[in-house]
Amino acid sequence: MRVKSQTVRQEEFAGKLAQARRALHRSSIRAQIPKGCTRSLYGTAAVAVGYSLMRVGCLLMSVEPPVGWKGLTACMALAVILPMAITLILAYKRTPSLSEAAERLDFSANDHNRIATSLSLMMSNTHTSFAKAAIRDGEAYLEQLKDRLPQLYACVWDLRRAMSPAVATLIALTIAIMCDPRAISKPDVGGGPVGTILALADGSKVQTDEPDIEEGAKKAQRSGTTALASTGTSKAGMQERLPQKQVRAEVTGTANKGSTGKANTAEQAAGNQGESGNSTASSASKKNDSDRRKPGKTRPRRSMMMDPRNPQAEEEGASTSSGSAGGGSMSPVQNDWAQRAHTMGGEQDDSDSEEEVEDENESSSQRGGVQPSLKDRNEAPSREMGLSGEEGPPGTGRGGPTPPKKSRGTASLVLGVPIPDFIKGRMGPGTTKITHERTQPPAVPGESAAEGSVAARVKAEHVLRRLEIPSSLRTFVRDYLVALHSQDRVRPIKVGSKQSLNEKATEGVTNSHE
Amino acid sequence: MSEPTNKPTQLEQADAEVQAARFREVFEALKSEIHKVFVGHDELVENVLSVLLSDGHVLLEGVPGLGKTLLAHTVSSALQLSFSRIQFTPDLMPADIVGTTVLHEKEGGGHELRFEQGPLVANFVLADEINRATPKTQSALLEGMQERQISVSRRTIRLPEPFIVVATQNPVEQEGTYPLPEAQLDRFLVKLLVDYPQEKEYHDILDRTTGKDVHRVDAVASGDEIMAMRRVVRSVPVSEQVRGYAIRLIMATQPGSRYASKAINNAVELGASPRGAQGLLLMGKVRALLGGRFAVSCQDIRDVALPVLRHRILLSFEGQSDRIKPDDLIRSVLDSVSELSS
Repeated sequence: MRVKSQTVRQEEFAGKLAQARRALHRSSIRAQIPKGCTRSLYGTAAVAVGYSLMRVGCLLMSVEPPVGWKGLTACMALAVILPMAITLILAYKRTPSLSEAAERLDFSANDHNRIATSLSLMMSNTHTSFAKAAIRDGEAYLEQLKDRLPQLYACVWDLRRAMSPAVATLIALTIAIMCDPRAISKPDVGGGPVGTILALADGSKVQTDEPDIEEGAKKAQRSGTTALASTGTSKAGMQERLPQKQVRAEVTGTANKGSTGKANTAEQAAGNQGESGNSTASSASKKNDSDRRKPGKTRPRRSMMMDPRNPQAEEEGASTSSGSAGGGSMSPVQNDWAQRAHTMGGEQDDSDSEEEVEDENESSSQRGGVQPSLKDRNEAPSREMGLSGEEGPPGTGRGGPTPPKKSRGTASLVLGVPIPDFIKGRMGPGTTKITHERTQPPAVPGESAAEGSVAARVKAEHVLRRLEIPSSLRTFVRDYLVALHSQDRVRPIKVGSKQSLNEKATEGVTNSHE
Repeated sequence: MSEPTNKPTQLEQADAEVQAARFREVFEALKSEIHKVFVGHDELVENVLSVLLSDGHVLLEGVPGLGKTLLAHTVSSALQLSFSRIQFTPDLMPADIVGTTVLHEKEGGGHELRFEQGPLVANFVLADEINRATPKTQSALLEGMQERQISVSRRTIRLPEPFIVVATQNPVEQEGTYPLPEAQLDRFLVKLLVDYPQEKEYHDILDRTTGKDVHRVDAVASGDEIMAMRRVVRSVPVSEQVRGYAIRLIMATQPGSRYASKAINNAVELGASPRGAQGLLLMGKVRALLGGRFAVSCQDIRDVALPVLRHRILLSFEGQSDRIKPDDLIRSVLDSVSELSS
């Protein structure tokens, strides 16, 4: 009978809570609308970014974009509708439990958890007098709330969270619009080089101020040359603005001028039409070609190398020459040799030797780089510890007397003072033995201390001032101590490694209730 | 010394409503009696009485002259309980507190060793200026506070019920004090901060202390009554939601736990122990009864969180150097932990 009545009471209580539960369900769905909007914004941003990336890629690869503005609009609509729909459907499907409804109702009504406590005690079949009283209290309170349910979920619009996807969408769309070929201005309007490239990439007609270039380009197209090659040969001034890849292609085109090819024909044909455009271009290309073949002559290598005040230029020249002449790589030692040769030549102050050095430098530079000057090479002093030390001419490496040795290392550390090779003491003294002797302390004669009256001080000796530490020093010491003590923190380790605990520690509050 | 019994009293056999009403009545009577001497600090007095009825111990902290000792003395006067006061000094020894064997001269000649029990064997123990004694002496209270018994050589003495230790201490920044060991601190149910009185309260204090009239405190509750009220407190139910909330709060003070915030991880060396959770629920039960309710709510837990947890949070070096207060950390924990269990 008692169980039955309890069950009945539970059902009645659940029935009373049903209204709150439904209201909670509706409120929770409403509360999901801002979340859905934010997710839609993120979806839109993703679509916009993807579209703009696709546009940029197509532009770089000179391919027509597979999805146009209409497609983008459709994708955007999907990105808005789908997240919102999924969010709302999930919220609709998630029916709150009785305890959740009770807790939420208590939370909204701020009623000291009366309803949830009542439900909990009812479910746990607690029959103490206080539990019964608490259940009755909860039931009464729920009855009071029947007609005036509070707002269970607050519909919070988080504008800050929505800002980033909105801004990303705007930026991505702007980029996508800018990447549209129709949006790019024509060369006569002001978009010169880019317009030309785009137009050439599309295969359309290029409008430029220079008629001969235009005609050259036309002929190049007619003769079947590639657009980029003809552009490269027709307009040298554009080289700076072109991307590196295209410039390389252009250089290749000009370098192959001597060989048979359609590009060559086109260039010649264009060059016959006028002087200003193609002739400049051809001369530039020739110059480039000669640069590639004879880099040492065309560039001001010699003056740079001969200038002893510019060691950097000297090094640059050495490295360049080694690369271009194919004479092998030059080590920094050789470079140093050359520098030393210059210095020594300056010291001698002899016109003949200067000329010789100059000639040698020239010859060495012609041989592909700075060569070491072997003229003043002396033999290194002998390191042997034999009899020597006599004065004489510098060694030639072929025997005979040598200058005083410059010995180094351990040989110079041999001591001339004899040191005994034994240690004083007894061998095997055995275990330590301590003997106690009862002796009187010996009286040491000395002066007796003078007597004097000692009394407490009547006043302070001096004022002890407290040293004020500057704030910067305090901060410094504090930072140091914080760093020092950061390792000896005691953490309750439950399961898992130290690293995982640290990761957990940096996570902050992982409260599931947002 | 009164010897309270464990038999259910008339109060306990009555309905919950009656029990709660009687509880509030006695509580209010005690409070008003105390306020005859101790002016102001209504919440402080309420908390001290709550600890008394929750079967715990109180640590009162404040600068000298704020009436900490007076409050403890007044509370003991309002109860018909044996009272002993221990003035903690640096040279106080553990034997001075728990008792020791003393050589006595027999009447017929000869000597014998007799055990002289210390001042700890009483219902109401005032440990005045507890932080003036060395940690060795402070630790003599450990067994008595937790297990309600003391062990001297081979002798175990059961302490009388109800047993409550009210300790006072000055802030540790002052010279000549020894901070309490963590194990000792954890045994205090609450740490209450005694603040300066309000301006209006100063008038009352001066009137009562500098005039001719002498205010007397009458005993309004016996040991039996206190024990019965303690049992009433224990019978207040706690729902799953509220219990879960208290547990989450405790865990949120422990660095490295899933509920701990970044501030806790940075500034706290050791968080609250399970004793903290026990304290939250017991004090919350008293709070619920005083609020006219029959079950503990999350708001009750929040109300008692500061006094129950502030001495259980041990700050790390970073926290100390940043001069972070445990109260601020507890407030941040209260803000971050939600009472909803789902």
